[in-house]
Amino acid sequence: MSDEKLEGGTGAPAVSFEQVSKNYGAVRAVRELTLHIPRGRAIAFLGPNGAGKSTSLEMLLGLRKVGSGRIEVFGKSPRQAMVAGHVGAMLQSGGLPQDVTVREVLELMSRLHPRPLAVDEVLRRANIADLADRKADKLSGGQTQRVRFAIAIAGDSDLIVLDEPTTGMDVENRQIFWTAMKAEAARGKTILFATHYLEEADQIADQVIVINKGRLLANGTSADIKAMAGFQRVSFRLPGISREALIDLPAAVTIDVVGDRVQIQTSDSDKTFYALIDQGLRPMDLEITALGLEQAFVAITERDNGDDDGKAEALTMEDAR
Amino acid sequence: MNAVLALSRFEVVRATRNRRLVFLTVLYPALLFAMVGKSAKGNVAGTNVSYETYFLISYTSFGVIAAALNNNAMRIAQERKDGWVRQLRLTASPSYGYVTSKVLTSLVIVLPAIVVTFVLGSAMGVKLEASQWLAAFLALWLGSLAFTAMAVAIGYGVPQDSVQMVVLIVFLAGSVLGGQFFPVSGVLQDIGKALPTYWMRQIALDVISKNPVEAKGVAILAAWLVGCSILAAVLYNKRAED
Repeated sequence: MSDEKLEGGTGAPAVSFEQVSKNYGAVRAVRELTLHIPRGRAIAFLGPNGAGKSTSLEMLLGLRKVGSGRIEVFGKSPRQAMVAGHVGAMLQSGGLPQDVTVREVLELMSRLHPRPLAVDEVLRRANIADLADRKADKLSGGQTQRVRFAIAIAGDSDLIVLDEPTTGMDVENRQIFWTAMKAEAARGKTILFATHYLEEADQIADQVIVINKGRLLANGTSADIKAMAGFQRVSFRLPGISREALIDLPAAVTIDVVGDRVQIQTSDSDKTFYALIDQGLRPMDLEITALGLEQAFVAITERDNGDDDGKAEALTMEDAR
Repeated sequence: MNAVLALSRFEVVRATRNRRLVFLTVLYPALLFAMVGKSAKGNVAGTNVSYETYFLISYTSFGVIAAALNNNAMRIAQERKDGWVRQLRLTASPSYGYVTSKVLTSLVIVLPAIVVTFVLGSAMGVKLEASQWLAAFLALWLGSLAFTAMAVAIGYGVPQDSVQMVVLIVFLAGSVLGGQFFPVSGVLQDIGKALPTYWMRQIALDVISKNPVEAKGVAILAAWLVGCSILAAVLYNKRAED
């Protein structure tokens, strides 16, 4: 994938993984992951459950030791970068302490960072001024998440890491949250976020990284990922059809036949469709739809899971044909 | 260091707002003493210590243990589960900052419990040299560290859903055998004499009653402090990645 296009900015990349592996006993959580994240972008970090997302983020944040290989954050070790105030983070789940107000929690955070934002500025940016004097442990799930986002930006860090930030948020909280996050991105922060809501990733991320089974599966723009999966889905009904009869269709990436129903993912629906017609086939109930990022994500991870030879290199555009 | 101070200040503020903790540490021992202390006449069997003095010190040590052991163990377990401890590791604060602030805070929050006792004691007519007051104070104050260390070990070493039960068992068994509720004798006392609950109370009591302090008791209390600290450090390091 076009790496040159993605290597924006100057100086060391915000984050670099070089051949990083991490095992838990016999489980290989992360396998030889090599990854460079440029500065100043919003990057979605995607992968099915158990793909190694959280482990990767935890190593990047210095919460877990790197098994083998090397992780650098702004050219420093993860812990050094944290101590220097380069990184703010919001972990997947978490409560807030009892017997203190939101403002007091943020005041503490500002004392634990070398170059903090003023607390009032944090409250304003995270859009939680209305929560400042509330008891921190008496908030709704969505409000708690927004306060935790405020904690992540309190250090005015260059890199903000968010692991499933919108989990537990209702629509309103989610909108307030993304507005706040976009504002941080507009200030030139590098934002790396893991999410299960692929629509959000599609709308917000400049770059999408997909990992599966501990390895890098794709790294590019949202459009690149969709193209990799096969841009469109052609589906139709055709009694008596067999998969073998369709196997040579041009541009087809995956072909599924269930009874009369055929679903083809294709990188060029025109080519596939005309070839179908040229073969003398007359499909019924024809539908041609563009894949969203979610479907693209499912398609490429499923394809990877079907790959039993376990080849280590990431899929490229060529593989997608 | 600034980070540790900021965290400690944060913890002290939280502790003073924790009604349950304030009740257990100060109010409960004082109330218990007010109800039981005056009605108990005479001396504890085989000693020159009045029941009144005995209950004063034993209820105080009970409050000190509750503050150092129960409160810290539950809070540490809860805050680990909540991800708060990990959140603090995502700052420039050193990794030991959290635990250090808990220990320092503990030393602050047991102070009112001890001071209340001493005020009550002197009001009851206990007259001591400054050095004796200091010795009694140190026995309770530094003794509390053994329970704080125990709390850190339990908070990091015991699965979160079992912490409450484990703490309750350790706390009640230790307090019964240590003479926190009533004077122990016979087999109970023999077992008690191996425990920090017993010696923290006994040393403070001996000082206040102007009896000689047993060196063996100081050694046992110190051994618990060192042992629990080592265990806490080991469990903390083992779980630091959780």
